[in-house]
Amino acid sequence: MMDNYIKMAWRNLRKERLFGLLNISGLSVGIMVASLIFLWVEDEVNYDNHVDNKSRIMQVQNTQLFEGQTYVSSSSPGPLAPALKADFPEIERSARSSWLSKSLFGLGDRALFEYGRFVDEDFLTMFSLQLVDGFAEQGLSHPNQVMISEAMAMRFFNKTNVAGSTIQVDANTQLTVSAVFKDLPSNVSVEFDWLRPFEAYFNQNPWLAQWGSNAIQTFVQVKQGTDLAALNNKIHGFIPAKSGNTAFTSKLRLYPMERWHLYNAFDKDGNEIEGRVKYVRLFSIVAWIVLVIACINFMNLATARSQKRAKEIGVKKAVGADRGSLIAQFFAESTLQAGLAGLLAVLLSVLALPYFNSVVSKELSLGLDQPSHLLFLMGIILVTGLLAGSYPALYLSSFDPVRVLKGAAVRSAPANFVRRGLVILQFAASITLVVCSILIYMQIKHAKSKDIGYDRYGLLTTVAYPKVAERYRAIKHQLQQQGLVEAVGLSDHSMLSLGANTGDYFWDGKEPNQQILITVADADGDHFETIGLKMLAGRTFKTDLQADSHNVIINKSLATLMGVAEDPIGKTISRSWADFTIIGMVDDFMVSSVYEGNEPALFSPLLSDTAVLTMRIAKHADMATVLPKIEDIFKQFNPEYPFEYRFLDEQFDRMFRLEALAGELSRIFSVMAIFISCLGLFGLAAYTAERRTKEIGIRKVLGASVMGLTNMLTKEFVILVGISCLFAFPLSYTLMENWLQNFSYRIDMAWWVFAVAGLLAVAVAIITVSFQSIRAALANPVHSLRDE
Amino acid sequence: MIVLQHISKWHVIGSTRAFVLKDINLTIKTGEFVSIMGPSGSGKSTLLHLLGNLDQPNEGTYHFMGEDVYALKSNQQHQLLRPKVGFVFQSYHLIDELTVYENIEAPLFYKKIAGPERKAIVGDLLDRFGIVGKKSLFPNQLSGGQQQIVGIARALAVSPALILADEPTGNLNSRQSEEIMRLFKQLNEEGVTIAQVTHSENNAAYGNRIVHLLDGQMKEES
Repeated sequence: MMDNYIKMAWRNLRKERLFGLLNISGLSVGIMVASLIFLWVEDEVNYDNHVDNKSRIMQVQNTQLFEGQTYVSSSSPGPLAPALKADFPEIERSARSSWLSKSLFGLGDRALFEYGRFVDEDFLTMFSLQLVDGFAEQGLSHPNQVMISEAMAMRFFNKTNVAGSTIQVDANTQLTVSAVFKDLPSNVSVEFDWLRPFEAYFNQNPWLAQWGSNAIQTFVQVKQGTDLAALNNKIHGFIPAKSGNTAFTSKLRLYPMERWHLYNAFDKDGNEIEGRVKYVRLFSIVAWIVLVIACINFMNLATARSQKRAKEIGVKKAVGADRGSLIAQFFAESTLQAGLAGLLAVLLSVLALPYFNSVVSKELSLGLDQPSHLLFLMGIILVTGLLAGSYPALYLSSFDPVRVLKGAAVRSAPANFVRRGLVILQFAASITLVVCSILIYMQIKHAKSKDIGYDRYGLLTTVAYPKVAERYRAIKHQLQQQGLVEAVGLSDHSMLSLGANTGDYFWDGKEPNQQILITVADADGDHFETIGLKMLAGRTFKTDLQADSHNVIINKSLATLMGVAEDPIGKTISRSWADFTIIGMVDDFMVSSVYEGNEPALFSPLLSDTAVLTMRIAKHADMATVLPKIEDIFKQFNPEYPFEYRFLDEQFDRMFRLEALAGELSRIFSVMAIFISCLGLFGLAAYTAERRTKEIGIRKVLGASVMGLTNMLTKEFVILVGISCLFAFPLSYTLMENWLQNFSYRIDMAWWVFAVAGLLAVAVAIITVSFQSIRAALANPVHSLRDE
Repeated sequence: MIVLQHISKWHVIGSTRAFVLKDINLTIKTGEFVSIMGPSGSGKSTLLHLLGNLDQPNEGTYHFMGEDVYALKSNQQHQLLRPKVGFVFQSYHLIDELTVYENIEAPLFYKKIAGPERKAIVGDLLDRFGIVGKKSLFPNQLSGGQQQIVGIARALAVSPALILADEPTGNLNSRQSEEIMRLFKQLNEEGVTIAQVTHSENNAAYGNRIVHLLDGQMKEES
C-alpha cells in the first residue's frame, strides 16, 4: 500500500519537476537556516556546561558608585579569596586568578606567545580540569610549575605525555610541566592554555597583599543549597569591614557561573539586565519564523496546482477511492518532498557551515551523531510533511467529483485570501530586512568615519618588552634612518585600550565629594606627534621623562571641566599624594568608544618598563617590503621574542564586531527572506494564472495583446507588494529607531532607504511573476477554452 | 436492481428553483441495457451520476439491490455501490501519471484487494482486450479508442454488476464506436446491467430499452 503511494508520489514529482524543485529547495533553505541558528543557540546556551558544579561556581563582583552611576567590575583585591573561604562556611572553595595574560614560552628554538592564568589549587577542581598526563595534587605547589593544555603541549613537544619536562617562560625562567590537561571546549567563559601557581604571580606583584589592589579575579564554590541572596547580603560590606578602611567603597556580591555568558550586563544602577541572552532569544525567534514561513510556503506551492490535481482526484473517487486513501496519498507525497528537502538541507548545512562559523566566530559542527539533533531533523520533516500535506489532503479530497470531472473551476475564496496574505507577510518581512541591512551598514560606516581626534591609518603597535624599552633609542634611530617610519612613540597602553581610570584627582573649584572619572595613561614625548593628536597649548614631555615627573598633559575636556580651557598651562591638578603641573593640552580624542564624547583624560610621563610602541609607517610605503625590515630591526634588538604587531585601524574596526555581525546576519536573512518570498509569490502567480486560464483565453479571442495581458496579470501582484510596503515601512522604522537609540553618534534614517527597499521588492516581484504571466498570456486560447 | 422514486434535483436561483431533474421514477431490472437519451441540458448525465452515487438529489429515494441508499451513512453507501458499479466516461478520465496497467489496477487497489489477485485480474483484462503489449504505456501515448478501451477495462476490473457509461463513444470515430458498442452488447449478454447516456440512435439500438429525458422529466419509449 505505502510503496504504491510512494511510487505515485515520485511520479508526480518527476512530472512537475520545476514546481517540485522550487518547493523542495525552498523548504530545504528554510530548514538549513533554522538548523544553523539553532546550532548557534545550542552552543550559547551550553556555555560552561563541562564544569561539574556549574550551579555552585561564582565570580566575585564589586560595585562602585561614581557620580550617581554604579560601575560593576570583576576585579578583586589579593587577600579576598582566602578571607572569604575562611570567614564564610557557605563557601567551600575559593581561588584567586590573574586576568588572562600572554607570556612568551620557549623550547629549543621554538618561541610562542601563549595565554594563561596564575591560579590557586582550588581552581583546578572548581573548573573541572581533566588531565591527560601528570597529577593534579601538588601540581601547582611550587612557583616553577606549570600545567599546559594538550594543544600547547603539541605545539611545543609534538606529543602530550610530557609531564616532568621543562619549558622556558619569559625568556629567562625554567618551568616544570606538572600536568597536561584536556583542551577546553570552545564554549567556555574562562579560557586558558596554561596555568601557573598564583604564588608566582604574587611574588612578582607583592602589592597584591593590599586590600585596595583591585587587580585579580576571585572565584568561589558555594555549598549545596546555599541561599545566594542571604550570602550576598553578608559579604556586601566585607572589604571595608575586613580591611578596616572605610574609604573603600566597593560592595561585593557573588555572580553565578550560570549567568556569566548570557547575562553579565548591568545598567546604570548596577542591576542585572539582559546581555547575550537578548540575541539568543532574538535568533531563536527568527529561526522559528523562518521555519514556519518555509513550511507555509511549502504548503502554498504544493497546492498551487490544485486544478490539475482536482481532476485526478475526481477520477480516483469515481474509481473507488475513499477519502482515507486520498489523504494517505497526499501525505505520502508531501512527506516524500519534505524528506528530500531535509536531506538537501543537511547537504546545504555542511556546505554553509564554514562560512557561518566565520561569521559568528564559533566552531560549530552539525553533530548528526547526537540523537537530539537527529530527532529535531526528523521532527521537522514529519511535521512539515504532515502540515503541508494536510491542506491538500483534507481540502482537495473533499472535492465533489462530478463538478470536478465536468471541469468546473476549483474556486476557494478563503484559500485565495490566505495565499495573498502569506505573500504580503513574506514580502513585508523581506522589505523590513532589506531596510535594516541598509541602515545598519550606514550606521557602521557613519560611526567608523567619526573623527577620533588622531589619524589611525598607517599606525602600527607592538608591545615593548623589557629589552625593547632598554634599547628604545637605538631601535628608534634604526627605524627612522632606514626610512621605514615617520615617527615613533611610547605609551603604557595602545590608544584603543585606555582602560585605566580614577576619580582620585582634585583641582581648584572641584566639589570635594564630586567623583569624576578621568582616564589616565602614560606616554613619552613623541607619542602625541606619532599618533597625530593635536597639541592645542603648551608642550609635550621632554626626552628626559624624569624631569617631567611632576607634570601632566590633559585633554580639552578635562581642561573645560577644570574651568581652565582658555589658559591651562601652569595650573595645578592634584592627587592624594602629590600636586602636578599642567604643561600641555591636547585636543579631545576618542577615549573609550565613538559613542562617548567629551571624556576627560590625563597623560603622565612614561616612567615604567611596560609599554606599547606606536609607529607611523612612512607614507606611501609598501607594507610588503617595510614590515619584514621592521621585523628584522626588532629581531636584532629583541631576539628572544617573536615580533607581533597590530594595525590600529584594524583594531578600531574590530570594535564594531557586534554591529558588523548584526549587519552581516541581517544581510543574510534579507537574501533568504527574498528567496522564500519569491517562492511564495511564484506559487501564487501559478495558481492565479491557472485559475484565470479560461478568462485569458476569452480575452485573447476578443483581441487583447500579450503585453496587455501580461500587465493585467502582473499588476495585481505589484499591488500586493505595495501593501507589504505599508506594513514593512513602519515596522522597520520602529525596529531601527529602537536600535539606533543605543548610539549617541548615529545617522538619521533617510527616506530613500525605504524607497529603494520597496522598489527592489517590486522589481523582484515583477521578475518572479513575469514568467507565469507571459506564459499565460502566450497560451493558445484554443487549448484554454476547450473544456477537457 | 435499481428503483428510483420521485427523484428531483434543483438549483436555487434567486427565489425560484431551476430543476435539473423533476420527479423521476425509474426502474432498471438486472440484465437490462438501457439507453438514456435527450437533448443537451436535459439532465442525462446528472441522472447517470445519481445512479452511481457520485451525486445526490434534493428529493427522492434510491433503492439499489433492495437497499435504501440514502438511509445509509456515506461510507456505507460507498461500500455498497463502489464494488458493484463501473464507470465509463466520455473523456476517458484516465490518470495520466499511471500506466495502462496501473490505471486498470486502480479500482482494485482502492477495493483493498491483495497484490497477486490484482495481478491476475488485470492480466486477464489486458488479455481480453488485446492490449497486453500496451500495459506499460501512459495514456498520452494511446489513441482515443485505445484510451476508451482502457477506461472500459478499468470499469470491468471490479466485475461490476452495473456499468454506467456517459457518452462512451462521444470522442471516437465510427469504427471505434462500433467496436465499443459491440463490446457493451457482449458484456450485457454475459449478464452485466448497462445504463448508457447517448445522443446517437445507432448506439441506442444496441440496447433493449430507451428512456427519454426532456427538461429534467422522463418520457419512456421501449
